Amino acid sequence: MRARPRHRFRRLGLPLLLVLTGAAFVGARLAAPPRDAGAPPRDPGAPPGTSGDVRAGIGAAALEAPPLTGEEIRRILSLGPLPDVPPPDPTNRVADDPRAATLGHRLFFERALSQTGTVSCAFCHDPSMAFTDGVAVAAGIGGLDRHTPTVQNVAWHRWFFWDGRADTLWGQALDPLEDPLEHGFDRISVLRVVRDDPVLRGNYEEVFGPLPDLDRPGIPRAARPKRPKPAGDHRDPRVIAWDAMAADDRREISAAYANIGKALAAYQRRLRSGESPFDRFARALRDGDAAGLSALSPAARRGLALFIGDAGCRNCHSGVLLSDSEFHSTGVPPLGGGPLRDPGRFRGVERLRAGEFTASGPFSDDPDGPRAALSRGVVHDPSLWGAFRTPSLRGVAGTAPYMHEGQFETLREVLRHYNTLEGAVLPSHHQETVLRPLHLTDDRLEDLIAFLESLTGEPPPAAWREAPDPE
Amino acid sequence: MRRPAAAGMLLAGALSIVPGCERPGAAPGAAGPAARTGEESPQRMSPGSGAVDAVTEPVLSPPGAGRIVSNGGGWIVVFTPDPDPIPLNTPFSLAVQVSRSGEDAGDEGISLQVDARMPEHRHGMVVRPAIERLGPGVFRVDGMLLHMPGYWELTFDIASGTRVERAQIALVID
Repeated sequence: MRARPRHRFRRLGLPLLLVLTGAAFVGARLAAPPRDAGAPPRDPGAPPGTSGDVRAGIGAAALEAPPLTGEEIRRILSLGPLPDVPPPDPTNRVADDPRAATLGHRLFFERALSQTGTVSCAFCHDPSMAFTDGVAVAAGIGGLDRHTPTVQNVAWHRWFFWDGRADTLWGQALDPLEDPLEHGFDRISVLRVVRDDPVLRGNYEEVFGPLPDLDRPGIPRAARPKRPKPAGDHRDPRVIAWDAMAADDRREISAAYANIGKALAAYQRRLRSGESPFDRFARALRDGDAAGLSALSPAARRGLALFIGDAGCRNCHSGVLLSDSEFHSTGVPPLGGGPLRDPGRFRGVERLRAGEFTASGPFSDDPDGPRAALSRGVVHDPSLWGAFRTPSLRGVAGTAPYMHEGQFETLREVLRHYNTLEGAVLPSHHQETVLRPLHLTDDRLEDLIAFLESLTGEPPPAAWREAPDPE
Repeated sequence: MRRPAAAGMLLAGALSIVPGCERPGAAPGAAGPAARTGEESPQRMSPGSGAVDAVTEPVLSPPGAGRIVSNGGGWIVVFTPDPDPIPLNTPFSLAVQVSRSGEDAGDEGISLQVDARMPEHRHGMVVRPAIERLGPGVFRVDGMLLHMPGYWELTFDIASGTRVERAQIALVID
């Protein structure tokens, strides 16, 4: 299984890599003689708003990095700077309501929202660790089989979870609460916690109006729908209780539960990271500020050129998130070895289609909008088996370990994988064939590391990182 | 071997188009500075014959719009993307008009399927577009998404009765 792709890589690797990364650009770069500091840019083209002085300044400012072409400048500006606010989310009517964010902030840190009373969202998405947990796979209350992704800048994503089974941030926020391995809770118990806490209740009712009457006949103390896992979940007393409820009661409870997710999303939309050295560089490039270009070291500049050029990183790590928010097979061997076991996006699409809290679902505030239309058209085919969402590289230096099972402890290990693909485990011949061994020298890999480290800026505002006041 | 038709395209902004699905050249030596000046011309399929001819003038204007002939020569497809040019990894729509070759009017009895693939990556789009027939030979295609930069092939399958003809065009998204 492993031998076949490696053989193919050896035979076709370099020519196809050059095609993937832009043969014309590569040819020009390889042919270019060494340049001195004052050399003019190679390419006279530049995007609007970028002055010739700036491009000349790039050469002067970075003695050890080559000047940028117009094409490179355009590609760089597609990666940053990060806009001040995320794209709007019309599926969540309170997405940008500060009162909802305040409620979501409290809920995010609330350990009572778990079966054991010990697990909050912040338990795994620890603000002091860039909203991750620093371990390979998440703990939750029962031990999970995937790595905790950061929720910094999460509102820029298109799909949520490693398998994209949620198409809204508010829908994503609800799933772990009822997952038996994460919070192990249920939606009625969540609403009871909110009702019984005067501050939470006040926040909720200010944004959404009265909570459902949880004491009336027909409403059990705890109930939730059956989940795909574990296998015997249909025998859970809470599932039995849910199935016994009247349809109208279930809908009212679920609508209030959806509001909890919308408040959590309103909070997480504020978790925008601060400006990174790369953002400062891109801003200077955009604004014609030659002095600001020193925000990136020569090594990081060279790494950036590789990132958008020869190394082909931008094939998947595109856009201001440095992620296409889509799904790819990376060939990373599973934790513990052996064949791939996690179906990834293949199962993610099935769960998305069966999902309750989706953009097109009954609790969406824009069920016929563009977000819902995109989800309705999503493809489900075998090529998705074992594919996982491209992680954002913003703040990546602070979010080790890496990959969907935390297989790699350092960025160097990640780059070693993509540089050689030794030991890569790919699902089958149905998968995309984007990966080619890069065969970069150690010096160039160090340049890429320098660029990746330049993507870490200030954390989100302290007021959102710290636990909220009890009052 | 195919000619390095994509070399000049890569400079043309967010989207470049070469009719006839001519793939980017695989030989890096052919894509040097000379090719970047635009001396290498894009190529297109000759209507009706399927043969490849070189053209010297810009084929499409504006750069995002396209007019292509189906491989059997029976149909002319004119499409305009919205937004134009097609952005990377952002949903877009196509306005499509299909007419019989040599005639201006659209056709009542045809159906249309639109798809896009990255043959070098062996994958297609991650979403299926929604195609609405607005009138004879006139269609609106929503929910297109080219999620990765690079070489794509956009295909229009025109079915009339039991006969299906394909018109295709090559795109480089960057």
